Amino acid sequence: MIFRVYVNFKDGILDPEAEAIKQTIANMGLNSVKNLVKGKFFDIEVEDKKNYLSEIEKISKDLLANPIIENFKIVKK
Amino acid sequence: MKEKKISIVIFPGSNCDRDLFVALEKCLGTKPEFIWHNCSHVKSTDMILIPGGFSFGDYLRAGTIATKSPAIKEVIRFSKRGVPIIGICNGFQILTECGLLEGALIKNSNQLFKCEKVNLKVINNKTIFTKNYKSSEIISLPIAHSQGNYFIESDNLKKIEDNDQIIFKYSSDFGDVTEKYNPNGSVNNIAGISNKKKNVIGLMPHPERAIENFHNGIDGIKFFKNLKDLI
Amino acid sequence: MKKEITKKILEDHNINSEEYNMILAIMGREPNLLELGIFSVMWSEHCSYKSTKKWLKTLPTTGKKVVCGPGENAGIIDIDDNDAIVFKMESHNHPSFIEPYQGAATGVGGIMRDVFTMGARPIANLNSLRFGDPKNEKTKNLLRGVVKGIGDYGNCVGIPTVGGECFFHENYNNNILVNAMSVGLVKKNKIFYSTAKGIGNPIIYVGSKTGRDGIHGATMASAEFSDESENQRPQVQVGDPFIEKLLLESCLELMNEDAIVAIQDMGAAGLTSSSFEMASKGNCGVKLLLDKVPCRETEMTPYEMMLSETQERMLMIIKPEKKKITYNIFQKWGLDAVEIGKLTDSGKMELFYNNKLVGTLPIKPLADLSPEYDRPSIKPKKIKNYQKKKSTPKINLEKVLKKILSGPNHSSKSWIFNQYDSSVMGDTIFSSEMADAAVIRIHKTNKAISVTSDCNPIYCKSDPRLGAEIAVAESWRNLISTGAEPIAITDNLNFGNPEKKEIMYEIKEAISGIKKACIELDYPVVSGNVSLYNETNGKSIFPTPVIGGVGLIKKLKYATGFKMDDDSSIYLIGKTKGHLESSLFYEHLKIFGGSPPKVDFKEEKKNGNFVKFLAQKTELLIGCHDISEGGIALALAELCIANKKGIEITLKKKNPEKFLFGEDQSRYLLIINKKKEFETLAKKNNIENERIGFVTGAFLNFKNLFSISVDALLKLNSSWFKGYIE
Repeated sequence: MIFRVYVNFKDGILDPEAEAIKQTIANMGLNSVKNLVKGKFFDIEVEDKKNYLSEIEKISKDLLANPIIENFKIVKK
Repeated sequence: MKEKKISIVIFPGSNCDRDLFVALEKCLGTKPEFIWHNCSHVKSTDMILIPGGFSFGDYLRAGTIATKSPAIKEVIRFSKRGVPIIGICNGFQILTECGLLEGALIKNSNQLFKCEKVNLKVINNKTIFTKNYKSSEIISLPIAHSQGNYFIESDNLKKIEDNDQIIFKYSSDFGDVTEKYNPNGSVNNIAGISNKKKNVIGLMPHPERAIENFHNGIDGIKFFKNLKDLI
Repeated sequence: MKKEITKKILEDHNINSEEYNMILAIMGREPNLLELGIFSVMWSEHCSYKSTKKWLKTLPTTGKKVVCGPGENAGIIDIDDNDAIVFKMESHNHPSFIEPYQGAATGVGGIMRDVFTMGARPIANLNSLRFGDPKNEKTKNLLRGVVKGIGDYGNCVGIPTVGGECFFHENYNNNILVNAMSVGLVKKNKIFYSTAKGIGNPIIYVGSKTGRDGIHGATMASAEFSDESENQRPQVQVGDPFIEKLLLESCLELMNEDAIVAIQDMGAAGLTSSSFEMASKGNCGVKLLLDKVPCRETEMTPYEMMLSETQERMLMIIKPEKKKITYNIFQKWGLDAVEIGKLTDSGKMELFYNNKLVGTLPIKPLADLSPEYDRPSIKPKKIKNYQKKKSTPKINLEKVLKKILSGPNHSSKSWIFNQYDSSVMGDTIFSSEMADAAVIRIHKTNKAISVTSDCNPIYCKSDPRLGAEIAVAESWRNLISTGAEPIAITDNLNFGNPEKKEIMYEIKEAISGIKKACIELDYPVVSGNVSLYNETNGKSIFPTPVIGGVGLIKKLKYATGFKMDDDSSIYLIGKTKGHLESSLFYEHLKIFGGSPPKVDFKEEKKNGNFVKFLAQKTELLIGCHDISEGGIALALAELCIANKKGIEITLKKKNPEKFLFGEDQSRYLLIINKKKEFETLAKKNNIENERIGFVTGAFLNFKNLFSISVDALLKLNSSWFKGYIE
């Protein structure tokens, strides 16, 4: 079973890289883009044990995302 | 009296451990001991320093992976006893990631690594680390980082301000703390902070690189000499 | 039996029919694909130097201070007290054009491994970069990527990047040059070499797991570009500076244990060249069990394992009784260390996979009989549009100086070097733009080394021989300016396709220029690298023989930078004739071609030795700057910028443009306080000198001609990068 953990900056935290990408899109002459958010994801394959979900949550909270600046979301693939 | 012990924690990827050792030896006349990151029991120590570098390649986020090393548990344990803890550059990042210091250090606002000399204004000269500085004294130290942009939510910012936890701010030669003198986008030009109890301090600039006459300034010497009373 | 090796396969491996016949003769049979692949990388230009070997052999490589010349991972020189300096420069041009970030990063990684393989801790990195016209659509991204790649890698490993060059010209539009130099410190009695010894000794593989990256990188670096090359991304190697740092620390730790017999990094042509070179130097055979090679991907074939260029890997021969401690140290650092074979007395490389012999190659013949070409050459026609001018038209000299200062090639490069950590390790005395060369203290001692890299491709295009002589002389002069005793160089020869006669001519001429200058200055070549086929769709780069020089500053107090005290005098040392052909000044007037200035080595040595004498035996020298491109005018402006101080110059000359912008060689500007003492010494030593001005005020003031404020100079000098990229 594979879970995908998405991690991205919380609203209100400036992400200059996303800003730069947005600017580049504008420079490419494409003008329909209103907003752009950048993030990353981790695919985690787990064995079907009873506590896997809480483990993935712990991994996300304690390691993959920094709760001060980042949100995470777990999705089953 | 038993000689006091200074410890430097080394992680795979730390690269300012030697520089820090040299600076402590030169300025305090004692040889620190090195603690390898997987050490799960430190018998005794009177001060812990976490050096700069790229612990675990700065993968994921700068400092994060290092917080999972056993030695960090020891750092936390000693911090609770009131032992002075100092994190420089990557050490500061590790201290925020492990929760000993508030806030987070994110990518510099221009996305680039930055190596240059900056001026710092001493905001709080009442801590054990800074008591020999004058109030608002300006010191100059080198920075060298790509993730030194200090972030903290406004509510918490107010809290650390009210509690005098902001120790250094980036400034001009004359102490102007403005955006122009902010090298990395840090909130309110913050360069260094402490915890509530003021026994844990983190800063992005490198005092250990400003201790020789041929260095670009020698203000690092005073930073380390300040520690003399603590050991 | 079906013929396995087809014409197509030979073409894909860049092996011509003549070479294939030699392979058949050596093997006594038709090789299989694995064996052919091994031949192709070992005989590639990159690994075998087949087009240049004949000429490289003519270079002076020995001297009193040379501990180890070319042929090892890097060159080594003696800097007294049992200390030695290990250094080399290497190109990563082709990979950097395809993927600038990773290409440049792995270039830095590779050259540092060459240095620490020999037991040295790297203490300084430099880089020499050439990009296309800034207006070319590719240039900006290439610049960004290369600089970030160099910075991220060196910064993470914690080695200061202290200097380098960056030059833009449309000639490099489709072939950028990324040459990286690394300098390391070793104890003379603790140097490690790559000669395999001891039949039965285990061969240990350490570092990253092998993937399919960079397969045929070495042959890629040996072929011309076509537009298709940009689509070759899968071949690009990815660098991991964190693993490099672990390799560095673990190897240095193991080197203290008397465990290593021989060690070699797996660079270009990976496992193949490292195992071959070690065995061939030691006259041994090698048996490799390829099943044992740690692999990152599944179902890798022996061919892929042997040819992979995965970065951050080392191969070493270990004393059998030290296996345990070897494994323990690498385990401590979290690195894979696996025994993948043994040394044998067969004289052959025997490759096993799944208990089957999948390839056998004779080691000595393959190495010794590698092709060596004496390729035909012809002098190219002179550039036509150059006409000798009796006098230059009335030109606004102020405008020219301002234009030079604010142009891409001479504006402040702080946007670049602020991305490099130049202060880590705490021994940097001068980095970029503080002195003519970077100066690094030898840790915990009272001495330092001075390092620089130089090449003026405009000179080299006009006259490759003279251009190369000047590159060597200028590097020598740069070291002298900092108070150093120049010791030796590494050369990184970047050229086009050697199969073209005009290019071969440039190569031969440049090498003879280097040879002449090195002999004259007693400044041998101890290591080097050749990068050929730097051309795209038939258009070659300018000949670019980059020279990396290293010198010793015996006492820290000798170290000299651009410093100026208020009211001190500016002296000009050397003969000023006003040579303007091939100069920046003429480039500005769009007058191209003509000869670069000649180097009079007698004069060069006389002036250089005098400056050295001043730095070492007197207290007279406050600052020093050598004069190169842009002449006296640019050198003075640079001094003003570095010190944020003004200078007043009195011009007595009739042709101010010749005096200000002439690029005559062997000259220095000296900052001196005690005029009388200095002048007496200069006279005694028969040194041509003139007090041309003094430090004062806030203007660079050429009296009765023009004057620019220091603030304006600073602004002009920092404007270009800001406008271009920030």
